[in-house]
Amino acid sequence: MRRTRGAMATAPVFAVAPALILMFAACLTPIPRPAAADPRLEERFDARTAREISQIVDSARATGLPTEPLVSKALEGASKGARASRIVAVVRAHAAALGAARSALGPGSGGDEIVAGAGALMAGVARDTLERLRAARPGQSLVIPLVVLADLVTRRVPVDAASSTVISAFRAGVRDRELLRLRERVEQDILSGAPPATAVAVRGRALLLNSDPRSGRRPSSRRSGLDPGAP
Amino acid sequence: MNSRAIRERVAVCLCALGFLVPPLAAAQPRVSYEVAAGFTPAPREDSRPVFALAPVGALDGASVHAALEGVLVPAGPSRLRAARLTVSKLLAPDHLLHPEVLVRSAGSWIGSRTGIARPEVRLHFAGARAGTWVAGAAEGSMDRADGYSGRGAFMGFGAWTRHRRLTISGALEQSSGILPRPTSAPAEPDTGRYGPALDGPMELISTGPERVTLTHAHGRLSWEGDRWELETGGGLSLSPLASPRRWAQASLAWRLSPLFSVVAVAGSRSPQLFAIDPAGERKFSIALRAADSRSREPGLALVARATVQACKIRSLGGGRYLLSVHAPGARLAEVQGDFTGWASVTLDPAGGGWWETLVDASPGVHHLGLRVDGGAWVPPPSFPTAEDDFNGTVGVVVLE
Repeated sequence: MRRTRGAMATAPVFAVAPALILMFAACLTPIPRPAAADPRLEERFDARTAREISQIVDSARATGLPTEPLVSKALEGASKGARASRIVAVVRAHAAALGAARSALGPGSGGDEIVAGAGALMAGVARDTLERLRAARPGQSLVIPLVVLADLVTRRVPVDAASSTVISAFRAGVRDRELLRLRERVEQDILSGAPPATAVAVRGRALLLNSDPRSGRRPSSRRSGLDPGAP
Repeated sequence: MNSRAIRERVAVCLCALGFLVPPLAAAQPRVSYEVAAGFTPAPREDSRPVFALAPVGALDGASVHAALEGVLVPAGPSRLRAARLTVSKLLAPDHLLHPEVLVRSAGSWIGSRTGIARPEVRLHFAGARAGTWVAGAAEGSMDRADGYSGRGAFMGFGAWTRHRRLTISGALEQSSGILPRPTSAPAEPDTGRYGPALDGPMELISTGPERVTLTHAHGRLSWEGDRWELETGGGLSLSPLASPRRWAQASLAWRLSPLFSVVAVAGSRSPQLFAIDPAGERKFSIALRAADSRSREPGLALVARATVQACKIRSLGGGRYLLSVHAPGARLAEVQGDFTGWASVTLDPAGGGWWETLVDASPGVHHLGLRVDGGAWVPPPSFPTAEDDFNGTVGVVVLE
């Protein structure tokens, strides 16, 4: 009887203790809150727009994509007086391009390559061009080839012509500095009145003919660090 | 001073402030200074050169320019003190037709106090490299002897062209002038306003001070090199009451450092710079100039915007880079990019048409744009470009 009473007396204690522990743990556990928006976004946008952009940025961060280009793109739009809806759409498109670029270039791609690849995709370059570039010289930096490719397309060189020229040059081992020189010459030709397709074809052929295979096979640095404006 | 004169003066000042303050509040104007100290001829009753100071303070915004120039001869029988304030505001700068409101005022303390204000409205038709303008102006003058007087309906037109480091401009303008009093009293100091009668015997046709309309035709050529600057100008002033008066001046500056230059000037200055310099004096002066800018071109309209000729980015280590922009003749150069949070940053003049600023950036791909004299944002020349998705183009740079 005593034992029974004792068992009955202790039963509620055993039943309540876990509940108390759970309640205590719940009190200690921080309540999950939405990540705070970048202060730069809060400073330049209304609360709703900042929240929308922050959601895109958070999603990109969660998938391991570089987020600074997204914030920067939003600030750029604000600085240029674009409408909030347009800025959100551009940031969203840019985030998608970053994801597509990483997917095309491979999981081991550097942040700069992903940013340059997204720029090329946004300019209209096909995704398989990025894959072919990566396959052409695995392990080499694609930043300058992608920047040059995006520039050529921006200058109204047909995408196919620009892609094939850059891929051919990259496969042939042309160095970053020579690719940048190719870009400058194409730009000068276009400014002189040459059709963009002709300019890139002529200059690309000349580059391949004049490139020294032995020197051209030298691996380019992981980060070329070239200053296109430097003499 | 009568009440009407006071009202008109106040109106001019308020007008100038109204055009100046809002754009300055919105933009980030660049303040520059210049002090030239050297030997220059005294007013014409002196024969030996005297030491003179010529301070200039200027304020340049994207569509506004203000400059306060002075001449001070601290010692000697003629203690020349004169100042000129120019305020210029460009309206609707992004259109092909650029209305500009220009207020020029000047005052001198040479014997008697004299002041002149000249509000002017110019309508420019300008492109990137050349432009033309027509103007209508009025003038109000005040001096102790004659009190206030106002004259209006002065016309003017001009044209300019700029190619890289070379700028050529010409104009035909009207202004008011006053002939000297017909007395045998000692010659009054020359403020330039009396200009047309000073080259020869006075042709007096009245017994009081005669106000006449002067017509000036003048041209100017300037060339800005990395270390040398050359400016030449000349003109002809006509009035119905006096013989034509010619003037010409050339100046050559050699930059010792980004801050200091040696300046040699020969010839006589334009009589349009009334109340600033003794006009009509043929002179040679040499001076040491300290200036943080040589972008001030008094003869050139605000609308004459320079262009970016070159851009360089040099690593200084530690994530710091020196951005250099070559824009000869520019009043203002700005950069914006992802490394500035897309906020506009004003560059500092470094001499020879170069502008510089330090930027902190991480290695990698960066986007940027440049703007000169409040014009459109453009990618740096010879840099790769990319669409910015906002109907524009930006430059792309890969920093190591």
